[in-house]
Amino acid sequence: MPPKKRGVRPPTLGEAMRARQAEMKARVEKMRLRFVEPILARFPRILPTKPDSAAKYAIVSSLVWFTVGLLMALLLAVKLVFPRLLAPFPWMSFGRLAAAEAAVMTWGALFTGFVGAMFAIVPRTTGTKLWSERIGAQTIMLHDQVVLAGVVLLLIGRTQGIGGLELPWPIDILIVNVMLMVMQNVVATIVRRRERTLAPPLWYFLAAVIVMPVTYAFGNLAAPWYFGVNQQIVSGFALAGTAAGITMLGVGTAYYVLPKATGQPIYSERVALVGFWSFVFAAPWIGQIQSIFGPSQDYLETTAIAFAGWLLIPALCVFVNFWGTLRDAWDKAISEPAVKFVVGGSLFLLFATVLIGVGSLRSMQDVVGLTPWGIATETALAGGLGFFLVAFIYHQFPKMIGRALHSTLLATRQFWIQTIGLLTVVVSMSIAGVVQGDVQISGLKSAAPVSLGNRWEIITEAVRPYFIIRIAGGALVAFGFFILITNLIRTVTLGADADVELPVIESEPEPVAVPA
Amino acid sequence: MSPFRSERGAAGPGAIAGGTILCLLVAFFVTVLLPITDSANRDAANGKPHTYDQVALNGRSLYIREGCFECHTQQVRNTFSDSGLGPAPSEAGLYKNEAPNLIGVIRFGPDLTCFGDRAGEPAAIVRHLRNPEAVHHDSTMPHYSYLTTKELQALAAYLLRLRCKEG
Repeated sequence: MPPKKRGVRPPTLGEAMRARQAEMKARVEKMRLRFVEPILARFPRILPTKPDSAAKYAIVSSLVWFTVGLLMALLLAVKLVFPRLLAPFPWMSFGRLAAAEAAVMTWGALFTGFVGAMFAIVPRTTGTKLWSERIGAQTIMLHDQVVLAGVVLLLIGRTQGIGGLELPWPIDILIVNVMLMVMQNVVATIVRRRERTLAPPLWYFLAAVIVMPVTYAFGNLAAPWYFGVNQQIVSGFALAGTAAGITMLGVGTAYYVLPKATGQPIYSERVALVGFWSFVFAAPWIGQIQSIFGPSQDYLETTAIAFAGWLLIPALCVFVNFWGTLRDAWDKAISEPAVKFVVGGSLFLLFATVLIGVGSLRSMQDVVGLTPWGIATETALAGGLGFFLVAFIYHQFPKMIGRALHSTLLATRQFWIQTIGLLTVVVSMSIAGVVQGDVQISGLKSAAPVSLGNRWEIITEAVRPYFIIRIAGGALVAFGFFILITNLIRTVTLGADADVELPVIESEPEPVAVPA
Repeated sequence: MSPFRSERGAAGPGAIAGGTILCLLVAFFVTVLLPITDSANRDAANGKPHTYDQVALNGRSLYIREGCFECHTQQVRNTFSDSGLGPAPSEAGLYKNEAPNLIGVIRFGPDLTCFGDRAGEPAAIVRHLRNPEAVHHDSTMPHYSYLTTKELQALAAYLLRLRCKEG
């Protein structure tokens, strides 16, 4: 055997393979730069590379869907009082429109908007670029088409027939695909972060992008395969997970907007941590609050009720943290529209939590179960999250396009109009729920129960005033939203020039030790 | 200084992702896996399921297509306020062959679990579906005059099959 030479040794198999891989990677990269990039660069609008492009696309889509959704909600509210309105059109029938409205509000307005918020906030809190602006923008374009297709399918009557999960399965698969694309973008950005520690918004975003695809994919694709009560259990898990995911996106957005808009640090990171984990733990358990006293197992109802009450803990943590952050900066609540909307949103979030927790107690369910009380809960939750989204738009959108906000006064008017409108809807619907339940109970004394078909009119007459009041509230909310649209359009066209605020990219590309 | 720079790292991405997945798994195990593998929900369930013929099944798919389940429930809850709606609270066996189950989550209209027990002639149901306000003056139900007579008859046949009493 020849003696070994010192210093020079032949590469091991692993080293050789790694060298070969690096060489191949360099060649692929070279070919990509030479052949692919010029083609991609020809389409700067649909394949943008500038920072914040994906976020801008998402915000604009969300605003459009929000307008459509609020008009649909208003139409539904009117149809419950005047059923003759648009009665000859099958695709405007109440049952189909209700499913389509829920899909537009959940997937079109809130989900798209919060994905846009994530695409803007994740780079800003990690100090790095978004993993791929092109894929981000493509995600939003795909998602818009998917929601549009879903709404059309629901309006022509193609429904899965499960309350809350009406979208048919091809649309479900595409929505899960969109969620996975978002997850890839967010997780890859967080992995490449320059800040060592994660800020509170990132906890919520990371948890949301994991919870949503898992629960939605399982619940939606599995539910049609189960029968009866089992289907209710499976779909309840999906509904709880989806609602939890969207709530986490909203709270995460607010956790970014509030410190940025006030310039104050978060009141307590420990309180934020308690709120975060208590929410992540409890939220997937509450799927069965839709069937208290129902045919499923009793212990499911008990755990759902217990954890619905538990949700007060995270809601109070968010509330304490936000108001604590503001303790030396309440003047900002007057000067900054974003702060105003975060404060209002935190109140509506607390309101929704109280309605969920109190309304799911068994003694309350006897009265308000299966009544419009559920609409009050949904409206308070969607209103709170919508306020967080509007706060983000007021804070970030003018900075993204390099303009100053056109009018703070209009924003203040929008805030009060929408707050009064939402409160009207929430309060009137919770009263309607109690009235409906009480009329049903008092009717038990008579020979034929009121809740049976022939005498249902008594309940209709009893709750009609509250449904009329709700139309007024819904109209105020929609009107407030048009003020927002006007304000943003004027910001784009007439707003004073200001600096574009881009994500701060820290230049030194040192690798970050990712804790396991 | 960024308002987010915390002194102590509160949680890393691995801890958050792992903890979230763990929480989901626990919730999935207790609230989904345990109950759906319980035979009390399916094979050994109490309660008699509704039976349908072909016309009634067509009516059932129309009931789903028109979104009737958005306003009408098909469950008699095991509680005082629902005690007049049927002879007994609905049990899991009632739904064991139903997918989707059409249990419903809100009542803008009356419960339909035992509608067949109290309904009149099919022709009266069809008339009601065409123009609810002609039958009940204050009804807020949508008008299904855009459905064909055959479709309305199928829907009526389905509704008449929703019986709780024997015979």
